[in-house]
Amino acid sequence: MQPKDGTMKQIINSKHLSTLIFILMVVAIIKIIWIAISLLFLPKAGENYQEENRVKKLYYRVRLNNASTHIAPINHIKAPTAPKVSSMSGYKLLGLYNSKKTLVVTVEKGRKTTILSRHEKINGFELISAGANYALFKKSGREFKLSLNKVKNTMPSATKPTRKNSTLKRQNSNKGIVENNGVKVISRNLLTSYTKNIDKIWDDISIAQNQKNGKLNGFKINYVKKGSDFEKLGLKRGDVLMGINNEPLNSLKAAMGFFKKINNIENLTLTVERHGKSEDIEYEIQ
Amino acid sequence: MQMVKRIVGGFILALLLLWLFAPKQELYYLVEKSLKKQNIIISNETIKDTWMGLKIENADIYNNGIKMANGVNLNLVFLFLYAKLDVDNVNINEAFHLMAPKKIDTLTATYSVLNPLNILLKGEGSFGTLNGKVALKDRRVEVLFPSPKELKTIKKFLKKDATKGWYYETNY
Repeated sequence: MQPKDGTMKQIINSKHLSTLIFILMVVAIIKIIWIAISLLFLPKAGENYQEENRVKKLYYRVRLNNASTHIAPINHIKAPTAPKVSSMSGYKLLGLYNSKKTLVVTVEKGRKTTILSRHEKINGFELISAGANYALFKKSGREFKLSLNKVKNTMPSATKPTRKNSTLKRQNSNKGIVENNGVKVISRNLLTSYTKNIDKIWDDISIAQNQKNGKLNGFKINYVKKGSDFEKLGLKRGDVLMGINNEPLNSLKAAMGFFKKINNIENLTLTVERHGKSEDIEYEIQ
Repeated sequence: MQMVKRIVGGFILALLLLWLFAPKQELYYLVEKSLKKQNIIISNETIKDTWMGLKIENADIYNNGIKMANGVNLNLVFLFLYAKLDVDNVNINEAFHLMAPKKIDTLTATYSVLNPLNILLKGEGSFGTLNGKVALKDRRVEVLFPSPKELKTIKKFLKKDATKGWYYETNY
């Protein structure tokens, strides 16, 4: 049986139908617009932080001076028995490295420093062998012994420097920054005091980012308080701190990375650009 | 009159549908991209489309390559006449504990057409509570700390006033 036209009109009102179709059309248009915008202009993936695969450069600082405490006695090197040794006046043995294959010493005469390996000569003195804290030279058939930090032929005992060092460590931990044989030694307590109280840093020093071609290129020192620890470190106004321990300070992350590990470092080398020249200032932390 | 009603209704409906069907995730990626230009990266987050907004969970926030905060949750609700951004669980990187508050539990920014020139701010964290506003016309942010904790850490950012107490103020 066919329904009458009037019944049909009641079930599907043409006015409502047209409104519904209009809404669906709007939905479809909006969706199409968004799809088009999305395909053409919007990124498909977000940004994720990529941890830089920065392999840390191998960084060693070998201080030859006063190295006797760090160099283990090498048994296989035969020191001449009862050598007829003489002193080498005017010469100083600043450093010594002695292993199975390698023997390197640093000798100072006057203001000139020379590095010698086995069988190399300085003014006719040939380096022939070494002990834990002395080096043996030969000249005109005679042997000469040069001890670390001593001009005259006296053998310092192995325990003495250790004791000195431990005393020094204790002194340093109280004094802050002291100079030992030309090397500035910073007490760890001093470092810790700065890491615990950061405001103290900004009382003593003022630094600002140094930009080069829109990129961070070290930190410029604008102010160093007179008599402060930073002045004792040798930092000066106008210096640009370019790197720490051979790592360039080219990002805030690098600076923060150093700050995080400052309590665990044993040596500190600041690379500073001063009057257009780059210099390394070295410190020991004890 | 009928025609006007239809046009207004259609317009509101179109706006609603426009937002409802918007590819919010992709729009969020666009925001991320522009933040990256300012060296801010939101990383490792989970994104959920909530029809009228967007939920971002467990995000790590980096600034200039330094991780500033982790585990951050953001919830954005946008209803044209009213918008709300909830930020919670902001754990500030340990390295900044001496310079900034340790944790922000909640931070809410609300915008309503009833107060069109201001975005209202409310928050709670290890620093105590905060409330303030972003004055859009004056381009000024003012945040009051009625009962600040960890004052030693945040003091350097704040000013003190006899009536307002401790407050933070900056122009952008």
